[in-house]
Amino acid sequence: MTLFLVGFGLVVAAAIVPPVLPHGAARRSAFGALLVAGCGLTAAAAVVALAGARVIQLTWRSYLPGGDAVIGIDPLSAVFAIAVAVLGATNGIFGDADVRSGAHPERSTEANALYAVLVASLLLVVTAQSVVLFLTAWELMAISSFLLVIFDHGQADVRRAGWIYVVATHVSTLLLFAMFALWSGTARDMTFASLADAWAGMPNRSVILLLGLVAFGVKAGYVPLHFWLPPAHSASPSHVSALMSGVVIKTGIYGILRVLTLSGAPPAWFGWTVLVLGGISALLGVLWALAQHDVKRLLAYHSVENIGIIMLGIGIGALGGAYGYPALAILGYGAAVLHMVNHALFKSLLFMAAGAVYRRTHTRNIEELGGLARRMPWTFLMFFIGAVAIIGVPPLNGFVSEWLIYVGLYDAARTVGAMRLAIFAAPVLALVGGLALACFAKVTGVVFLGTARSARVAESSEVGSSYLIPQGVLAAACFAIGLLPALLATAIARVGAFVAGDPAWGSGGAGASIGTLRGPMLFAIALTAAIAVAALLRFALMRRRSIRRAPTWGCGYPEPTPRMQYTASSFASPLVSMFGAVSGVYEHRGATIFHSEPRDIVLDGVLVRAWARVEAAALRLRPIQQGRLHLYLVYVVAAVLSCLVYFVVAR
Amino acid sequence: MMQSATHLLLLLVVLTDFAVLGTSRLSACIRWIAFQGAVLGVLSLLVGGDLAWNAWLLAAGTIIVKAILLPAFLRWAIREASIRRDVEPLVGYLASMLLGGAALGVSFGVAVSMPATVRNALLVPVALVTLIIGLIVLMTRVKAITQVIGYLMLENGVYLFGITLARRVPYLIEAGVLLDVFVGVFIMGIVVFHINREFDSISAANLSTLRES
Repeated sequence: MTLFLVGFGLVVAAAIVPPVLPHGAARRSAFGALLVAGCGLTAAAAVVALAGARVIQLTWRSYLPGGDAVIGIDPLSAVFAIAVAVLGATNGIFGDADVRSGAHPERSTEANALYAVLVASLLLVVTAQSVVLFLTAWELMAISSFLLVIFDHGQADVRRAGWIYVVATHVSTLLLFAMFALWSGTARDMTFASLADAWAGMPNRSVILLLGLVAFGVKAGYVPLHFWLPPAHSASPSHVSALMSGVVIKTGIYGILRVLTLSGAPPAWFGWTVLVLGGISALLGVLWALAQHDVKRLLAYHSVENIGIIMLGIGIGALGGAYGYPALAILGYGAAVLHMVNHALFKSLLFMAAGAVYRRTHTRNIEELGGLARRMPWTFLMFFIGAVAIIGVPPLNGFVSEWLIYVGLYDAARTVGAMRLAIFAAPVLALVGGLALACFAKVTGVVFLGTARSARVAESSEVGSSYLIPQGVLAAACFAIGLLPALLATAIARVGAFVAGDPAWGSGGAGASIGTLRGPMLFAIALTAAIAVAALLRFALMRRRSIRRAPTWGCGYPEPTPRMQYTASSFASPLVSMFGAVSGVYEHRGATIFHSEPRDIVLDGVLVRAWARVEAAALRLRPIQQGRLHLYLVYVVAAVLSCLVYFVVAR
Repeated sequence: MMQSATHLLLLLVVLTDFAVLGTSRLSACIRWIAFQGAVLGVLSLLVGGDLAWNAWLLAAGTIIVKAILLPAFLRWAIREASIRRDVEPLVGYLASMLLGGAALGVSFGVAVSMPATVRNALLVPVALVTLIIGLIVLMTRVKAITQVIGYLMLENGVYLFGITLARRVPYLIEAGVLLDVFVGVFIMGIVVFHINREFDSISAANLSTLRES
């Protein structure tokens, strides 16, 4: 615990110390050093706690309303804290470099300080074990990430994204207040331990579960609560998008898992709801991603998809708990947590690579890019590794966790009773995988292959090492988990068992199904070996031959132009149009023109219209505002008197 | 004896409330509010029961601040800021009185169901009615100085509530006397800025920007 607190203190120091140092190298290296050291120590503390299978807790006695502040590391906290710490360090280094070569280099100190506050609040969110501390950290996280989202607040669309985000995140906080208020009504005090004790005697448990699912869902961003995610991810600086997508939205997942941990096995309807929501958001997320042209919006929709996949895992776990299959519960929760870690790694990697492309080309519109593989080979390699990982192809980490979810679904099919129906999520997951493949074929192909579509893109060059090293670290982690998943089996089983409430923490027979990881591990290693052999063979064969380079899609024309290539719209169109109105895409076709316009059907189709209605209704109340002091006093008196009268009537 | 004297004084407080509502001349209003302050000072002695030294001190402080200093200050403000001597109500005197009557009814209706920790049955309804009539004065009078008078009445109502607790939380009521300093600042503002009418006029620009349209 001391280790964790020292690390946490260093992260906080990374927010406070650099602004008081003199400008220049000292300030820059202080931020990087403090952040990396702090994240390293917290990660180490979390790894020790997870490996040692211990729960560490620290309580501060407090006589303020809300009671004691408890901070602790159990397996669930540990795995999320590791993700936060790893991404916090890599994204911070990347972001420091990126902001300083951006449009506002003079504000990099401000961005760094806010970023360190965000990382610190994330660490606190996942380790807080009492309600008031948790909500404080939650709110701190919401505010610091909001300030980072509106970093480029000179642009109108950034401000709009910021507003949408701040409204969504406060709706989530409000619902959390309601949930914890209901829950702590009969509890001894406001620590998580007493909430868990009070659960069994609680009157309206379904309401609490539902509130938790929606409140944390707004943060996690499953469909239809994802609406704030694409604008916010597209508007914020790249490293912030990476951290938001990597861990901030995962705090929603953490919350759902925490509620499940405290409440024990949930009722069956909860499991089915989570499973169905997961399936829907996986499918719609990837479909909507396919239609996007803004590379960061596209990645944001992929976060919606992956949150859906994680929810599938949680759904399996919850169903396993509800129908009395502890092994399945452990497997489902474990798979969800592993996919959470994997997604955090590869999605941050993708956002950073996309951010590097943006830094050099100044556009996020993939229709204007092209041919970057030759100009930014390392960035291309990083993006490619991330893409392969997110599609879920061996030998990278995305495959391992999706495999576990498939295993969970097939195991569910072999049970007795209603739970067998869960198998229908397997074809959905397969379809999602296929669409993700199409989507990343589109992005990688249009952005990195072919020829440049504008002069600026043609002139762009590779980014520096402070961009590439953080990405390299994440890519290496992706490979490590992909190649050696069996090493993690114990830890995953431990976390899954902790959430499922298994007292043996997965060391007994119940955690055995995670042992199936040996299969994909051997496969991944064999595949990597085969690829390596093929690459060596190609190298050996091509060594003595001359290679002639020609423009892609040249097709032997005398005057090929970049306009002759596949565009993102045309590549995605056949798939997207299959889904009709659900895809939310408006296509414009003419004799010489074809382009498509993606819209978010929840935000633009439902929420904006509903808000217009609310605004019109609110306008009718405008005559109340007369700007006269006496009238306002009348309102005050009327309010006081009606309170008094209500007081009389109520007694 | 003490009980009936308390009742008499409480009725006097209600009567001064109505007197302020029905008076058209500013100087008379100030006289009434000064009288109310004096009554409150005596009341705090009677309700408190024991005549300890700090009860005397409190009573003396109340009378000095509420009955002598603040009224004198108000008269000075009228002279200094050359304010016209009539009240200028937004709602007529008769209508104000009727509103006051309604307030009296509501107060007695509500006071019945108040938590009964008070020995004297009249204290809570009188406190309430003074509070509400103070609010009515605040609402229905145009001039800033009349609003100060309304605020003073409001505060007298709060003070009456406080008397019921004087034994248990003595500092509360002493802090209530200190609140009068705030009224003093109010009056200073009127003098310094020569505000003759309601506050809207000095900051009309700000308040009309509050109103969207």
